[in-house]
Amino acid sequence: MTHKFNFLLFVILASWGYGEGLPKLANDNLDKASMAEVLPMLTKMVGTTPAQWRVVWHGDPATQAGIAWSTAQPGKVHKLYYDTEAHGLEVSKYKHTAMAHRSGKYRNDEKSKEDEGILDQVAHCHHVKLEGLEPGTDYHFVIESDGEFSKPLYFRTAPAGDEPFSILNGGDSRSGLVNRCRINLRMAKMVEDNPKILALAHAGDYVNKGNTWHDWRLWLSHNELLTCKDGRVIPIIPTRGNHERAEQSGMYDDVFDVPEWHHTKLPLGLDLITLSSNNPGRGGQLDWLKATNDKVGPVSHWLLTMYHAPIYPGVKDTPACKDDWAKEFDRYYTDIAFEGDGHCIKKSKFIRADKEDKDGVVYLGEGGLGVGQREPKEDRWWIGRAGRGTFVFLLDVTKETLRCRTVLLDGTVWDDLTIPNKAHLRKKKG
Amino acid sequence: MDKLPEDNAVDRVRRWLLVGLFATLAGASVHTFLFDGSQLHKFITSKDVRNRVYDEEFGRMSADYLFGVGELDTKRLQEISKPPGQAAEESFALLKKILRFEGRFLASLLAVLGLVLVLGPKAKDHPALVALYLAAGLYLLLQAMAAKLNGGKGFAELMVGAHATRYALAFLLMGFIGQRFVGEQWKTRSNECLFLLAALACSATFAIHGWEAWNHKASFLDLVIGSANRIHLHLGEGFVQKLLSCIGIMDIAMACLVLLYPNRELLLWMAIWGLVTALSRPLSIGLGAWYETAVRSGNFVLPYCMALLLAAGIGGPIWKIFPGSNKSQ
Repeated sequence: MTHKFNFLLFVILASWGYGEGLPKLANDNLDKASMAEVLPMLTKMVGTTPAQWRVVWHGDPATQAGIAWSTAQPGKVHKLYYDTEAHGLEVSKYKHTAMAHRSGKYRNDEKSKEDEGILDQVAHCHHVKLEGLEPGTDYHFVIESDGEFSKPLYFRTAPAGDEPFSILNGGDSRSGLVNRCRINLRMAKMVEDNPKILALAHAGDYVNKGNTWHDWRLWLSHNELLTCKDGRVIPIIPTRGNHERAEQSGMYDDVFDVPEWHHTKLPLGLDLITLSSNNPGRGGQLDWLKATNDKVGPVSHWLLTMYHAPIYPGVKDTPACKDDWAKEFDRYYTDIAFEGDGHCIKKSKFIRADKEDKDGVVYLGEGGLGVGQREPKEDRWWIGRAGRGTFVFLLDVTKETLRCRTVLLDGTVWDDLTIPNKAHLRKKKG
Repeated sequence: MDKLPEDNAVDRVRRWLLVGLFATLAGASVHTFLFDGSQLHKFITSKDVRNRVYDEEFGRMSADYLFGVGELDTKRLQEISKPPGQAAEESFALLKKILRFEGRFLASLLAVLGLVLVLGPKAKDHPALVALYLAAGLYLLLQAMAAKLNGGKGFAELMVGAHATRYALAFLLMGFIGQRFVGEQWKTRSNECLFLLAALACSATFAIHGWEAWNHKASFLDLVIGSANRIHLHLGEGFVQKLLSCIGIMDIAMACLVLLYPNRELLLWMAIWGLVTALSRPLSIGLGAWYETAVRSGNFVLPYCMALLLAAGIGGPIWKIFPGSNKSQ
């Protein structure tokens, strides 16, 4: 009888404990998704059929966007039909068209060993720049390359007002290809469940060898999974990783067509400054960072930065530009620095002037969009919390707070961080 | 530098090589003990984890399907889609095991090398040291090869040549012990061959660093600007690029001259320059980066050792010592 009672008590306590465990965003089995079902979702690279589409953001995504795609054959006419209303594949009904301003074969600059035997498969990229868009509006589009059409797709421009919104952040998708597909599905699901999510800020290391078509061809196709079931494409704000090295800029440039470092203006006065830890951190880039900070810092409601190599690393050693960059982040009270590279989950303490400070920057990263995870050094003074897992950050932005949740592949929320606003400190500094 | 007796010079060279090798291994071991593991460790574990999650196979199947070469093998795709949780944990356990093994290996190497340094002449010719130097040399060579294969670093494809002065330290020490097994009449000849080996290593390292400087490698730019900042000298990126171009030309010229016209002045300048560039790391980043200087000990120890050998009349231009050349006839 006592045993039975103990067992019953154990079951009750265990169930209660389970219920009190980590919260989950959704109960689905995306973390176990079979690739037999996933691969047929991707567009085959045949002739001039538009495939591997992506929407790329930098600058002012309330009114601008870049749309790029690939075709197996070069083709002649590459066109985008777009409108604020959906017309399916009836392209004549779309109010606007835009021709590709840039087309050409992907430049796998060095003929690497990996590319042997597939050089005849190197595809062609096409880029369209859209400007003068309406903020907070769904833009439906269909891509045409020489009479071949994509399925109807759409993306949402960033709203202009004070509407709360969310963005995703993650990095390092260069290996662990099955999990890379799954986390893409997870992100698409998150956008389906929460349409206020605007974009994915990618912290770099998309592929292992950034100069090979061998690696990029798969990333580009797997990236199609960042398309929701209703055709909504999640825009990417790209960052260059060390595996897309600067001296191999051709391919990265063909994929994203963005400057090496750039500034993205998001709603609610959020400024995202994207840096390239692959370029010199102390020369022209630092001058640009200082000038951009001087321009946006005093008026920014939320100030975020993103780059690849962590300056408060969870695994590796610190880069040469650490002091200069950290000082610059401190100057205008940057809220969050998103990092990649280390292959772990890391949340730093709030750091200012190289020590813990409640008004400091929180450094979040270090990349888990597929890659296998390393062991973080939890004994480093700056580590707030660290772990391992395939994950993405979900950043909810309101006027009052930034809430950053670390979402694992199975939808579990591993960490939940809320950051109060520091705009008053920035204004004072300005 | 006054002319040294041959044996005296060789003894001094061996001491310096030993110090250099110890420092190089100590510098290299920091990544194993404190950071994310060595390049070799990264290569092995990354291969392992990618195998466990079927990266290559899934990549090939994806490509075959997307580019219309093959049909989907749904059964196999289902098999490789099993949740990788257990595989990830197994791989992680292996990663830790390798890291522990590498740590022990390096600690043992450093301990024995330290002992040899302390014992000095008493231990220098012990035949067992051949195995020690071979292990150290192979370890450093494999690190360079792994760095090349891992990629993700500027000019990673040139790492084997760029690191030549590191593993050459160990192979030269091995060579000096090996002299015991050749006759006295071959001693001078073997010394010259070892001088040639050192010259080739220096030439490779300086040429590749020169090529990187000529191409304005990002990290070099940061090092120059950071080092100049320490002495309150604020240099613009444009100026530093021009400076790096000049440094690149100088390094490549030194790489050629060390083979074609080695002389004491050149070798001493190479040693000083190697030391300055190695010191630029802690100068620019902070003293915590001491290991960046230590791991580059070969860049200044090796030219200095060559200068010592030259002072004793050992060595010369490549065409004079290369096996089969006139001098050897």
